Amino acid sequence: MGSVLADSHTPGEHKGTIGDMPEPRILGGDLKYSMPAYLFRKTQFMRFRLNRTEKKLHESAVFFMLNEVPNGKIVSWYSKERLANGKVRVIHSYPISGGYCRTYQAYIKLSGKERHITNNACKYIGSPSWSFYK
Amino acid sequence: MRTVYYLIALVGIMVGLVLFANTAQAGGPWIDQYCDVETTQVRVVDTNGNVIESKVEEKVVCNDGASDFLHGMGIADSCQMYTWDMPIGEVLITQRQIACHKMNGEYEIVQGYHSIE
Repeated sequence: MGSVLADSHTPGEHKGTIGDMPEPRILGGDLKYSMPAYLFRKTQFMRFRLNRTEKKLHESAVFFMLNEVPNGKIVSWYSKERLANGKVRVIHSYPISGGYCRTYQAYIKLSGKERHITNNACKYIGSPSWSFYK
Repeated sequence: MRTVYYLIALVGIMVGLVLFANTAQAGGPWIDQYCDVETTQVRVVDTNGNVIESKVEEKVVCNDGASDFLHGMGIADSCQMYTWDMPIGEVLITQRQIACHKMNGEYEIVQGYHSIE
């Protein structure tokens, strides 16, 4: 799969027409850097009451996307037990001093109801995991 | 009369051999197997190069069914195991999962294969 930054694009190149996902809300540059960073937390589930397996699938998709997948490619998951599914995709990757960041869009659909968020995740040199801004 | 029976039986066997010999597959009936036996030769050598012990270890290795299923159904062309580190409090937990690369270029996380290393 190569480097995740190998095919970085500007945010505009991955708007809603690619990959059958809603149009992402692009985060403003000032907003990204003024927000506090968190570890992966329950806001990632967009207020849906997912069960343990679904939460783990969504979390797996987010980390697989951040670590392995180039911009624009969709990573999806499906529940075997009920009408729940989700997908994530990176819309922009860029280096920063001391690491790199990826802006991504996450989408969850549960029993006909759907929500999506645009979030930013950064990985700093020496840090074991990603920092999220939502 | 007995000779006639023998001849009929002989002809039947010959016909059977000709028919079934034509449908034999290279690799035999186990060509699609999910599991295989991998052998590893372990040799213990001292500092002078003398072989102290030599043995062959056998291990049964099975491909996961999900990978074969997704590939066989034309949904994915490859599947891979991947890991990521998740800090839980002060401890870093390495987690493991399987993701498949689908024919349409997207990836899909396979349910039921999450584990902690």
